[in-house]
Amino acid sequence: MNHVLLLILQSLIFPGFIFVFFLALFVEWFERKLTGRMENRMGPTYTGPHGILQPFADFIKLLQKETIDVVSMVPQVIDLLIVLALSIYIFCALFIPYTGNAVLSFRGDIILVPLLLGLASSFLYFAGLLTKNALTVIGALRLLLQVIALDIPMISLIALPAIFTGSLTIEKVSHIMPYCLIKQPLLIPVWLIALLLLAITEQAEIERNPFSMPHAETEIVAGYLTEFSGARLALVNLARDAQLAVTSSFVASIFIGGLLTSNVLTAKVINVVILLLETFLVIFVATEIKCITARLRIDIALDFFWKYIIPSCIGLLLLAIVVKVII
Amino acid sequence: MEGSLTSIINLIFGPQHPALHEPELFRFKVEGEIVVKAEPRIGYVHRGIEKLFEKNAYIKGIYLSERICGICNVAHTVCYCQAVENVMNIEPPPRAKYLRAVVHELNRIHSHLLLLGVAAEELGFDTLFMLIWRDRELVMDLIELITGNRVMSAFNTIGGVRRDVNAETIEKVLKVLPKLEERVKYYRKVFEEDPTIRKRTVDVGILPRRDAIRYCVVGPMARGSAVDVDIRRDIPYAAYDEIPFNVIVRDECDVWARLMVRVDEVLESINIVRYALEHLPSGQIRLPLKRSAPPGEAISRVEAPRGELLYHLVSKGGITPYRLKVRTPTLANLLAASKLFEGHTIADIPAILVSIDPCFACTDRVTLVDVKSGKSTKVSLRELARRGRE
Repeated sequence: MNHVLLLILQSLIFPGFIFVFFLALFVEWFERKLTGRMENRMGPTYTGPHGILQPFADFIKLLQKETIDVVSMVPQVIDLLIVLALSIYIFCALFIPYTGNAVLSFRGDIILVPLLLGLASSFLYFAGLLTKNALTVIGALRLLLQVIALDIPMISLIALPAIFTGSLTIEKVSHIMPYCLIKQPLLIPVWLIALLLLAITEQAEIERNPFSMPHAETEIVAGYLTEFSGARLALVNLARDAQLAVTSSFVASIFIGGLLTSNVLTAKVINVVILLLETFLVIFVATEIKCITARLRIDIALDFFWKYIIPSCIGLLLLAIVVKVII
Repeated sequence: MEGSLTSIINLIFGPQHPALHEPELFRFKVEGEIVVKAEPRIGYVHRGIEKLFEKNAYIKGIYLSERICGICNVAHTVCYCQAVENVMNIEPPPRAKYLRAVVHELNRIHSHLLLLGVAAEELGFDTLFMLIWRDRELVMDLIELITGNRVMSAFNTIGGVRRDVNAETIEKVLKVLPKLEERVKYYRKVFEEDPTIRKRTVDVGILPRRDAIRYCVVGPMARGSAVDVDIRRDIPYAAYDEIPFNVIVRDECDVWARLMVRVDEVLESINIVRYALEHLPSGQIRLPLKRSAPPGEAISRVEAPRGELLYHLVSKGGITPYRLKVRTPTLANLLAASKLFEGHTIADIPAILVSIDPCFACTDRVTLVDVKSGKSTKVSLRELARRGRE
């Protein structure tokens, strides 16, 4: 009974809904502020200290606004898909060891989480596609093409930490990843190349420049998000912020890791701080790339992925296996 | 033919769209990502200015012409004042001619930097957009220093210019120019070398030299297609016959070439301003104002930032013009541009559109006021689209 109660509390508060909600809003502020500073602007300043409450204010404001009905044959399904996408991102957060221990953990969850992340973004894709508008259809098609091209490199890159550490559990990988690299220095070059490829792939995963084609504003207004307004848009925005937060945390925990295994409360707090710092580091790199590139065309991007990124990811995977076997 | 292509989507750009900074409508038929047909529909910013010219005195016409296009306002006033001066048979003093050139070039720098920033934004490169517009403030400040206003300068008048510059102002301007030059050189490097910009603009929207001549494109669009035209050199006005400068021509014929022509022209303009201020003749800046003009006719041509601008003034005596006809550069370029979209992807639409530096406020005034030419424009556009479809 106690166990079930604890699970419910965890999924509602930490690291579940409430935590992801505030982390997502904070991440949005962090990204907006960084983008602003990198673009020689101020970024949000008005609401709260340094504008930190701006995403929250935007969220509340959007909730109050009129939600214009979308032209669609199945409008209820759209709402359902958006809520499902958001809940999947929150569900993924339960697998990420913020305190050093994940709420849910089993052998193979390192494969499950990217699958779920892909599923949630395809829900958003379907939500966009179900609204009848030329712009949303084009945006949704672009997103679909991008997601298809992304899956292979993402999975093969995520397999690397599993191969390095010999574990399929996110929790365990996040504990031993750095020590594993120190013990086997031959893996470090492989790891560095993987980080480079990861930076590119994650950029496409979170739909930021140069891979922001699905919602390229100067081309197709807001892409697959064009028809959403009011509370629906608030939820979509929250889902996309949660996507950024959870994806970055996941990547940080398995590629950098270094969490303490101790069960003391201080160790847990330190773990939360470490993982959040690593998450912000990942977002910092993503924002930097976003700010120094122009948007590519979808055909150029797909060309780039299928011709260069996918072969190099698979090659890297084989290299990692060979190195691991030699060691 | 349209019935057989079932997967064609009608994509409507405008009149309100993030890629358009002025209200105008483009109807694109797209198949997947490929544009098969583009149809511009112009006329959203019609204000009836040409008729207003006929009702107002020559001196008021200066302010009307300035409001045809806010961005290239100096080109419009220079062109208008020259037309009126020709009819009135007066010649502005040399100092006024030099000052006209200075403000005209500062206006060109501001217009080109604005366009380059917008181009970066349309390509999704927001950082570059913000940085270029930050450095554009330098030249805006210079325009304010010389003319008293940042955008609407109201600097030219019939028979000269309205404000003089003193030695202190010249010194201030000459101090800022190297800063501006350094920044523009940096942006030149960015446009030349940045891989993502090159991927989006090189070999996109190719307008071969032959077509450029056939469609009578003007300005940077022509010079980007290896057509060596520049009114400043070909038919010198103001002080351009005394100021040395190069005409930038590139032969790549694509979007990238058109952007690079503009970057290089900014550098040339900086040199022109510097030369003109260093060799500024002394003397008065304007002639006493004449209110009425004798009967006559004049054509004035000016190289506006977007290309050749033409004013045709007919006077039948009195204090108001009998007729004033304006041909703006965007009208000349839009014809060719709507052809360029076909066969490219949706993502290329903003890139191609921005490369012609469209100014619809200028264009619309022409089409609808002059019913005859307006109608013929529309017909030829449809003709064009029809030919593209076949």
